[in-house]
Amino acid sequence: MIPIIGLVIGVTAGIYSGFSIPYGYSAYVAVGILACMDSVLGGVYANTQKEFEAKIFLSGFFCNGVLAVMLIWLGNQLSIDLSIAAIVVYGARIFNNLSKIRHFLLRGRKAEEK
Amino acid sequence: MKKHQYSIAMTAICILFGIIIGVQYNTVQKQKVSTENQRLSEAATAMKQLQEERDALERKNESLEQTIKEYEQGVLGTDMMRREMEQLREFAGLTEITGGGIVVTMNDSSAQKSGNKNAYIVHAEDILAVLNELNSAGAKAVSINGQRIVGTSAVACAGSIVTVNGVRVAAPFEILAVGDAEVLQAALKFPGGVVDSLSPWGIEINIRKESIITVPAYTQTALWREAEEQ
Repeated sequence: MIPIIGLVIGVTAGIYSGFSIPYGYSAYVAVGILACMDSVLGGVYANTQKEFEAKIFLSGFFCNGVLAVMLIWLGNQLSIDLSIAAIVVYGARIFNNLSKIRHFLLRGRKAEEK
Repeated sequence: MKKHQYSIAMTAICILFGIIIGVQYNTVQKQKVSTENQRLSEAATAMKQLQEERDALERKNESLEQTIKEYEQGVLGTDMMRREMEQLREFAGLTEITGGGIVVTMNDSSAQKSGNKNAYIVHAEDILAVLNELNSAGAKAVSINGQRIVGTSAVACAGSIVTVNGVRVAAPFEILAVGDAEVLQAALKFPGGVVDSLSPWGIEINIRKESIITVPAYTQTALWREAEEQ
């Protein structure tokens, strides 16, 4: 519950800070957001499995974000639209994680393990 | 401890994540606005251009109206200009001239004489001599075999034939001259004049007075057009 409050606080702070990303970089940030969302949901899922580890979660969050952005950048240099790949992969993983979390919430961990 | 760890880490990350999302949201909103601004500025540029165009057209319209007014006010002036133009056209040889005058016919000598044959045919110089006399006697318009003589005309020798205005003409040469027939005839026939100097060679030169002859207009306007284009 607290993380959700944190998320709301973060979004509010971000909007009211008035900061914005320079033109041309927002595509990178968009993919970064996707990667981060995947990491967060992955963390939530890991927690449901009692496998959550702060180190893995934190490193995963930052590495995924940075890696995604770097891949997109590389794709842009080589004229390959890798953002589509990132969107597909991270989108699929997000849905996957969400469905696992939903299973857990509906059936409990034991049912999941079965 | 693990539960605690999860809460702290997740909350921290969620705050960070939220901030990123918020900033991105700001960016997207700003881009929407800037796109709208771009369209707006494009429209403004187009409007400005059209306004300038309209202003230019209005100015042109104004000046044209002014010109029309000037024309209307200056009907007398335009009449004068038209008369002047007609005079100039006449002077330049661009119109037919009809009037009294003489017809001079020059033909090669029919006498079969020994010696230099060149001496017995009509040369460009002979025609020029006649032309010069006619002009000096006040001929208003002269043509040679239908070629009107104007300021740029040339009568030149081109081998066995003669060219006038660049057009090949051959004997018999018929020279039309509008003017005072008596004066023109006298100019050619005076003792020691052109006719006298040519007759020893047997060159047939006839002068006929006519009450009405028509000298054709100069027709070669191509040269003039070229000159205008330059």
